[in-house]
Amino acid sequence: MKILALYCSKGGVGKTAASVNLAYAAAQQGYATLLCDLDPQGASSYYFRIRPKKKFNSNKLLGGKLDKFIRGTDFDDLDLLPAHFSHRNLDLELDRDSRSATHLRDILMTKKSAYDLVLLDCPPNLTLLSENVIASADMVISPVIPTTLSILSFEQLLKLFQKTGSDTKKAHAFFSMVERRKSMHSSIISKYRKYRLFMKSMIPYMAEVEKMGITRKPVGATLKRTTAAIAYDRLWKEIESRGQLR
Amino acid sequence: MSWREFIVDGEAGLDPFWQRCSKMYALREHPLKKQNEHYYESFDWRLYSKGYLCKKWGKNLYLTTIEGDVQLTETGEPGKHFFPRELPEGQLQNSISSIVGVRALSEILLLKKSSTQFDLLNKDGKTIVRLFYEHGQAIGNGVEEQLVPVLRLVEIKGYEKAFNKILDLVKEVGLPELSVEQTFFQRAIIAIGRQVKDYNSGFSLLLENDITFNTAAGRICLQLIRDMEANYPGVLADIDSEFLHDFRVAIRRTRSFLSQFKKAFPGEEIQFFQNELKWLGSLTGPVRDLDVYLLDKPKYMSMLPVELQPGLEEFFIDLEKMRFRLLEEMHKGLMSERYSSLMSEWKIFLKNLEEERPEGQTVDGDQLCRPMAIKKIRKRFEKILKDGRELSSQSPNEDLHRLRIQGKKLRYLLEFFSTLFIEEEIEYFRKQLKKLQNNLGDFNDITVQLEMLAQSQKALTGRSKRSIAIAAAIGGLITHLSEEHEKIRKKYEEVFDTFASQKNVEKFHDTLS
Repeated sequence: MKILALYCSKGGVGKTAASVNLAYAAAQQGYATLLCDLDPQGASSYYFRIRPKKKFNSNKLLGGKLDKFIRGTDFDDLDLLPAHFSHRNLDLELDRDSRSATHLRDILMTKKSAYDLVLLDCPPNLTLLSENVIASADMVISPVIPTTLSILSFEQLLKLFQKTGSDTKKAHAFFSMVERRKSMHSSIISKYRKYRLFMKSMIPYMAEVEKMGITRKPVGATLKRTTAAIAYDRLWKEIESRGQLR
Repeated sequence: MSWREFIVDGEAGLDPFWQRCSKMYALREHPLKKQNEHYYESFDWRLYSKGYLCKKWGKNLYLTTIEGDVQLTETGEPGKHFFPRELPEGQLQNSISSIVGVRALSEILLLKKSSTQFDLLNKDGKTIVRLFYEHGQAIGNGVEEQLVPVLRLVEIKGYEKAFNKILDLVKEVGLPELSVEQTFFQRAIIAIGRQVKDYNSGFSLLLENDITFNTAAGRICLQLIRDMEANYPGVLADIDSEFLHDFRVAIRRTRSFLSQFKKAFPGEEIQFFQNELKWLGSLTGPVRDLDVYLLDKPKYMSMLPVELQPGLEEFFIDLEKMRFRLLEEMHKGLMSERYSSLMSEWKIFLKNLEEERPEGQTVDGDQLCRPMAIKKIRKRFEKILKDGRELSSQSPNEDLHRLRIQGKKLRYLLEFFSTLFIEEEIEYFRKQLKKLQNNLGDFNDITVQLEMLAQSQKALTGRSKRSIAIAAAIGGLITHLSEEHEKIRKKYEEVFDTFASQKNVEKFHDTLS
């Protein structure tokens, strides 16, 4: 079982859309997939139309009591551990009982016989939770809008890797919400794409992805194959090959 | 994922259920899905006995568990019958081949399934329970039957409360639940008037300890007729070699029974049936002999060096041609008036055995069967012990052959009357006897093969390249088989001593008392 984290310290970069659509793409390829929504805003849960059970909260999550609260999405091989408002304090709770730096991994590994893949949709901040995520995941995947400020945030993330002693080879980035007509986007992409860190596949800005809030389902879950679905499928294949997931 | 299934019987169908359901949840209906599944099996249910089903759906062939979980897939669209070797090479072919052996797979069931999926949605539009309404037709065994429609409820992980609510609804409406033991496949088989594993090539008949000989004889022989009739269509259609094999085994068992209990039957009539069954045995013998050689072809090929193999190939081509001719003759006989009147008269005779006392009926018929069986079995066993002890590995072929015949008679007796004794004890006995019979049988098989090969060699006329190649190949086979013949012969004493050990003799007498 592999753990993949979708993480970025900034919001609004297409992280949740990526979590949802990559999880869907993986499940379609036959991976038994669990998407964990760690973001108290609960956007990926919203996209899947799933609310948490009444008795769920962050204590239960960190206590390792996952199973009862996992819910099946409408799609084969794809389950969701929905977010809970109490997740806003996840980092405090991680700190509290001096839990190990890879506590998240320990909890998630209890599900290794049920799932091939766990995707973590992480909240956009730099906290103890982020450190735990970086230490626990096999791959940390960051969407980066090709602007100067986004690149700066990404560099901060790499510093966090070094601070936690995690192998930077785990870090992977992809350009997200790309608009080729914008000259800053083009120049940033040209400058940074040569680094191994950045994947070749990019996710263009697409109205279809914005509409997910209305359709409330992954872009791939339509009868006709759309540009957006193709883009995420391609991204997924590259992630799969980089992580040697098969 | 767990699910439950319910029978949708009655005229109202699912309407009462939908009415209640729609008050609680929104419903999304998917388009109707139709699917034709063709199920294949050997005549004696070999796949099912190992826990598998083989089905063709669309352009693919699937090997599944009995519950329907797919294990292996392969592209392929076989017709009504096929041998595993005709499948594309791969895991599926290997698996099926190892289970099914020399038998062909035939289509036993066509399932025309129609199913509609319904999603029950909560107020967020999330599917919380999936429903499948399934109905269909089962076609096979010469009939077409509608299957009772089934409602399948599938639980979605994390939505147990909703699932239980729907279960309660179903109970309210009074739909009976389908028992877990009956899979769709089993229900379909029953619908076409068959049972799973309704044929196997062994002989087993439940006899009560207190029945008379007449009753037992009638039941045993009628069961053997059923075995013959079951295999008859397969013999005529020449689907695979085992139909004829099982057909002949049933004849042999019948003849053995009649000859061992001849005196207990009324006078001359039984002689007539014995003669007719003998005719049937010789009618079917030649084709079976050739089947055995043809099945052994790979074995023979591997015995010869590469240079001689083309000659052997030619030899087998001649055998195939011969088989075709003999097959036609056999079919003529099996479709004749003589055959059909034999079967009907034999059945009438057996049914009358129990009911009336035909003229000239001996007293034996009314006697209890069990003591008669015990006496016969004991007598046969003692004869084998006596004759077997006098033989050695140097004895002539005919003597060893005669001992084998004795062994066969005993084996059939143990089969006929096994339910009159303690199961484990009879099983032990049969296993011990089987070891002896295997040695004598293997020896005899090779004796027969050597004779046949020698004759074939003599019959080769002409000095063509082909004839010479065949003669050389046969010569090579004879050499190789003769060596094997000797090896088996040398083992006789050891095998017999094990069978006739003090321990076995004592155990045997205990079993029979």
